[in-house]
Amino acid sequence: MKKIIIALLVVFSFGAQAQDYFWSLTWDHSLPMGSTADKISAYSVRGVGLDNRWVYNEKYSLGFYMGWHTMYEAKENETSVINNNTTVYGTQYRYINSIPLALNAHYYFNPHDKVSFYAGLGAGGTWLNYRNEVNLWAIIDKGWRFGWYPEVGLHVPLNRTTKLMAAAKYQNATARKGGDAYSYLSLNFGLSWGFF
Amino acid sequence: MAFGAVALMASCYPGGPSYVEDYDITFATKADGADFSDKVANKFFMPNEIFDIGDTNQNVDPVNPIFAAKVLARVEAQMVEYGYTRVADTSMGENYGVAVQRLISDNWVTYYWGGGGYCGWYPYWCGGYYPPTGSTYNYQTGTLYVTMIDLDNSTPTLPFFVWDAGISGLLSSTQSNTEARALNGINKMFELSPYLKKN
Repeated sequence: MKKIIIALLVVFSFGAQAQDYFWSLTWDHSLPMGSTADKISAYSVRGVGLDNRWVYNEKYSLGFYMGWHTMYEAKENETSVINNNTTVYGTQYRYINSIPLALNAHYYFNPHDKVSFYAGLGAGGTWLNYRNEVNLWAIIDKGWRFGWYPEVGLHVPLNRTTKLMAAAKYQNATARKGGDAYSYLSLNFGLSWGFF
Repeated sequence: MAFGAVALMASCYPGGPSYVEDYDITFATKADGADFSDKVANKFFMPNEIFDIGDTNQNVDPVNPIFAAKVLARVEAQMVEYGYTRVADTSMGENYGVAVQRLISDNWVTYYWGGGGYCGWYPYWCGGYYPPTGSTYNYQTGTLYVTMIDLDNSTPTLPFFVWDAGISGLLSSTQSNTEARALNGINKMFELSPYLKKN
């Protein structure tokens, strides 16, 4: 027990000495990619993201990200097979709501420069709901998926505690039983607050 | 900026239909067990009128007879193109009955077969209640609706509705292009149903 307490003290003292923290609120845009673009190709500005990171030795961080991204497109004159027997022709209203929740890790290349760049990786779960509505029918593909993304971004300091932030994430939500895989480029613009 | 984004996220389902016309669709449904593979069984009878389905106590304008004639002619032309032969009356060995109808009430999932041309043909059908072909969706008022009954596989108490198709909401619209939309919609019904072909 004494060893555990000592170990925890060492860990926390190290953390207190070398760890900084910041959080970011971002306006997230989405551009569907790959087969997702076959469903919805329109660029969307409907999205928000929240990022929390604990920085170690100024170069590395661990954290978590959560977002809510909505994509939409109306497709006219489309034919839908509702079941094996019914076919419907008309305007389809297609929606994607994606909520990625991910742990992430980042590396900061030049943290002291006026514009600092970073790269990272996130992985976790993504709840995604795709709806294709036509008249009173809806084809729905929704549920949790494994989600992951590579990310690059930059910070521009405004003052001691606030930085402008811009990032690009390639969001991937893997296929699930009876459901497709989805991917989209997520562009994030916002502010970061904290000591880092 | 980010707070503005939160405001933008007010709806999970942005956009979407704004007008009733945005819901317009053409649909076609084949019943479970329907089989059109017998190429010889290709005669159909179609009454020369558009029936109203729904609450018949409502005051609704009758279907314009010129419009009705064009609709019926287009249905017949499409049937003929698919290899069917129309017979003039019900004593000529017809294999199928085809009826063109207008829905005058919403949510009329089971409907009243309201008399008309079929009464002299299969009197026991008149006044009966029959569900549409395996479909439980919500037909909108004004739907132009075409049904086909497989008479060779029907019984006196249970007609076998093998195909139904429609243009949802069409006849409730005040748009001036209703006729063109109806005729194009009838073409589309058959295009959606290649399994009907007898040729």
